[in-house]
Amino acid sequence: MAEIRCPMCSKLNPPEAAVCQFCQARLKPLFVSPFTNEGNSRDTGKKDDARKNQGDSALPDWLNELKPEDETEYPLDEESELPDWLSESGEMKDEQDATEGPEQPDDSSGLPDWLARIRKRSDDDQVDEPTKAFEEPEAEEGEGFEDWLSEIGRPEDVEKVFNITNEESPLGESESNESEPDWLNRIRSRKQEVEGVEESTTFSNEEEGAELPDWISEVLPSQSEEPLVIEEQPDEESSDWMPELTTPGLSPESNTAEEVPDWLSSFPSKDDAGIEPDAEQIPDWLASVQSEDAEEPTEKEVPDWLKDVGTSQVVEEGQPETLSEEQVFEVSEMAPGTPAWLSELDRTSGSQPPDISSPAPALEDEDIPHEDESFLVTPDLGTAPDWLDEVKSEDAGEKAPGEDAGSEAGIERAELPSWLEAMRPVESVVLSTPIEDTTTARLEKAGPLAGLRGILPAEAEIARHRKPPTYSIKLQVTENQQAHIALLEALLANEDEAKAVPKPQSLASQAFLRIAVALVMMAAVIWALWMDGSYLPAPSQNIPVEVFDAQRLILGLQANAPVLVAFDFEAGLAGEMEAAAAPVLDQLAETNAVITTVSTSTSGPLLAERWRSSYGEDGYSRFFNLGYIPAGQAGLLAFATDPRAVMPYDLNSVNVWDSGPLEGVTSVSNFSMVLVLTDNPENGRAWIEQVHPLLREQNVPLLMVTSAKAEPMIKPYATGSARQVSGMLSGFTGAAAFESINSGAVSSGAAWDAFGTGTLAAVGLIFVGSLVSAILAAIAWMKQKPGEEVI
Amino acid sequence: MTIAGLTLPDLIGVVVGFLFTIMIFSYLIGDNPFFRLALYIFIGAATGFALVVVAYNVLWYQMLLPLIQNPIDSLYMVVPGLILGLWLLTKLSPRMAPIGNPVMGYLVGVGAATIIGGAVLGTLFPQVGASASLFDTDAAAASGLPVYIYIIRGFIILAGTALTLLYFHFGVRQSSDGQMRRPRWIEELSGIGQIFIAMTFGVLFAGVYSAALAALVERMSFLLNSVLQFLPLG
Repeated sequence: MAEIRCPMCSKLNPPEAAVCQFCQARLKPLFVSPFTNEGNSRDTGKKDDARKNQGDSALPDWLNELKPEDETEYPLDEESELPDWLSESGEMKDEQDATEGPEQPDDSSGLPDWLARIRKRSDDDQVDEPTKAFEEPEAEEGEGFEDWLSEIGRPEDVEKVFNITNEESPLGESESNESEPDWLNRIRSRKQEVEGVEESTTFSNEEEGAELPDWISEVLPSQSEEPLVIEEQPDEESSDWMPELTTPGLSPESNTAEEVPDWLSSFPSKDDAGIEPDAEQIPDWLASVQSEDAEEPTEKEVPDWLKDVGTSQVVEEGQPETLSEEQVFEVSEMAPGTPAWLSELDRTSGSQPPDISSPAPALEDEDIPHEDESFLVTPDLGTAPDWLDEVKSEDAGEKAPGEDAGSEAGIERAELPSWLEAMRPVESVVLSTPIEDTTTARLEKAGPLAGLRGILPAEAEIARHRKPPTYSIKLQVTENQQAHIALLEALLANEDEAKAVPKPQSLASQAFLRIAVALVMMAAVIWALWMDGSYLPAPSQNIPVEVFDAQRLILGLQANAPVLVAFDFEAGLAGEMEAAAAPVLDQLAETNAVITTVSTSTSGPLLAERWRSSYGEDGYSRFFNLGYIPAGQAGLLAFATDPRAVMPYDLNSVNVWDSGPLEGVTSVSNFSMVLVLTDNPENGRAWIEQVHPLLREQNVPLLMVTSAKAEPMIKPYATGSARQVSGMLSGFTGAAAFESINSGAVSSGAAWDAFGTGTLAAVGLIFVGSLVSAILAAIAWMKQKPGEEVI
Repeated sequence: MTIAGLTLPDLIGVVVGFLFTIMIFSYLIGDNPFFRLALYIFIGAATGFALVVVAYNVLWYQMLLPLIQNPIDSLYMVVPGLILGLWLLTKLSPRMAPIGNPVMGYLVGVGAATIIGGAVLGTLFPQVGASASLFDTDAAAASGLPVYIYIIRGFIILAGTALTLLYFHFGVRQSSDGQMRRPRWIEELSGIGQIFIAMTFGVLFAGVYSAALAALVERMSFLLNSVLQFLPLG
């Protein structure tokens, strides 16, 4: 039998296949479409007329016998499953031939004759009541009656129409066989009855009416307006969809000979052994329509599609059978070439053809991938499709009716009918739909498609009641993570531990050392003061030249010479400065110099007054305290330029410039000498820079008594070729040296001794400290390891 | 009234001085409230005294009193200063501060000119000249030092000055190994300059120590005399 070409994807499928293996398109229509190929959009012109002719010639004999010119009788087996309505087609055709003459050969469009007659008839006859013919059958006649069957008429009419005997089979004299199905007999008998019956068709469906085949047109009673009820006979091997084609009234249980047409009632039911038409003669699409009245088909005669379907179930009248889960999966083995979706139902699918006699392996739970079986709830199939009812397990021993290897081998490959050929898509457009492997797809467990894989879920995901997955609250930690955790904990633990820093070795704490040194120094000084002796000799050697110059200049002053003395030191260093300046000021006082004091610091006038009051018992009288010179160096320059303007009055509010010793003084150069007492090198430099240029014009000497800390900065001005400072004394040493060259002795012997003792104590402490530090450094150096640093 | 030969003011001064001296010496044991009290009092007294001096000695005696006693003669000296001083008071208010900018500019300009002129004429030129005369043999004779000693001293002074300045040269260049460093000869000579710098710091330290020691001696002497003065030690 020729392979069937899928009208959708144009791929070849086995002849037994009811649906395409690739695109799952139906290959065998559920009902014969009255459409002809003429004008079909799918007819792209690639029809092969010859092929059609060949197709006609390739049609099974039984179909060919429908044609008037086809003299060959359609060998119809008694037990054939050819439905009555199809078997009547031959009658109709004969009838039409009788009325219209010999059947015209296929026209150029390639339509078969019978189809052309249908079209013609539909054009001639107007459908008055198109709907009536296709009214749904009454309730008592069953539900779900297909429209196409309803076109035929009422069940009783159909019964009459298709009530043919074996002798009068429209397919011609078939092979008389004891196993000839009843429906075939009825077809033959009907043929006889129909002869002479006015052909009338009551196709209400105008779309289909023009293209009905002859056998359909012959079947349709013109008078009858009642829907046709097709008797449905239960057949174990009938397809699941078969019950949909039938009305409840056609159920085997309610089957009555009066109501169900023979051709329909001849459909094999589940009770019957199965009527299997000749596989070679019955087209695939027709073979898919099983008669419930069909007897148990022989193994030879069972069509493949029926084998694929497996056992069928009796459809109860009017009640959609609730298909159990087992029934869903109990399908017979599929013949080769069965649709993939149908093949998947058989978990033992293999190269072997499906055995419809044996129950299909039920899908066990273990095949279902799930973690928790609690959610495996068998859905309650409320409304299982009818075709599912047909599927049930058979006895293992039983074989599907009609299953026969020999029959499989003897089945001719169905030739593609011309009308089907016309529907075939353009060959150039090859729709290659990939085959979807649904073996691992989700298994549907609810709805009418339960048991199938790779389909859309029937019910919403939310409707599925299943236990939510349980998750452990315990933190899952891998070994690697644990290792990292341990490492991190170790690092964090080490954070609290202070890094061991090698402490430098020290003999004592800083406070102890500080106090100790202070006590030593104080002790030395106090001891020297307490002794009040002159055990330290006055400096007589290495006396700086500046000291000598100072002495010389002071001794060279004239009596009552105006001397400007600047008290530019702070009160905190008054002890040193007063001790250092005392010999010089005393020397000046002895010369009766007019001492005019100024200061660039605010405490200067006070210090100057302190000295004046401490000199002698009544103080020094020839003393003028002008006070504080503001504006820093600018004020100093201004004073040096015009002291009268800057300092018109002294601290006693006396104008010293108008009378007295300072009457002739108009500039700083008018003084005999300028003596600057400062502890700040900046102040000393200011006097040198601002005042000395004016003094140099008049060769007025500038003497300075500085603190020991300012000596290094002022010394350069007192030495060298410039000699901006004529004489200079620095601290206790300078004063002692000055007294030494004046009197040969130091007047403040105790202070000098204390100073000397303190100096010696400091030298001793420095020496001892340096020695200890050197020893410790040497020890550390000897203990130093290679690469380490000694702190 | 005299106590131990001291009048009351002197006695108060001695006592206060003694106490404040002890309070300052308490810093040996660490920072303490006595030390801070003495410090705060000293700062306050110094500030107050400075304020009084400025107000009394400058404003009164140098500006207001001359203007009162001799307004004509002191007009050209006092009035401009007084006006500029009052003008400078606008700097106290942030909103009026820009008004005192001219006065501030005048002060800054005068001060800068004075300082720069004094530094150049009073320090830079004479000191450069003095450095240049280090090798003057005539000056050597005047100093009384042998000529060779004078010359050697000159070289030492010159070397010390140059090497000290060389130590503060931080210009570097990329060496052959890619590191940035000073030239080797500068690196070596700057080490000698470090010696002179260290010696300078030593001298400065010695001066500071001498000054501090002198202050210590004076204070110790005061304390001792104060104690002895009030103690019936005979």
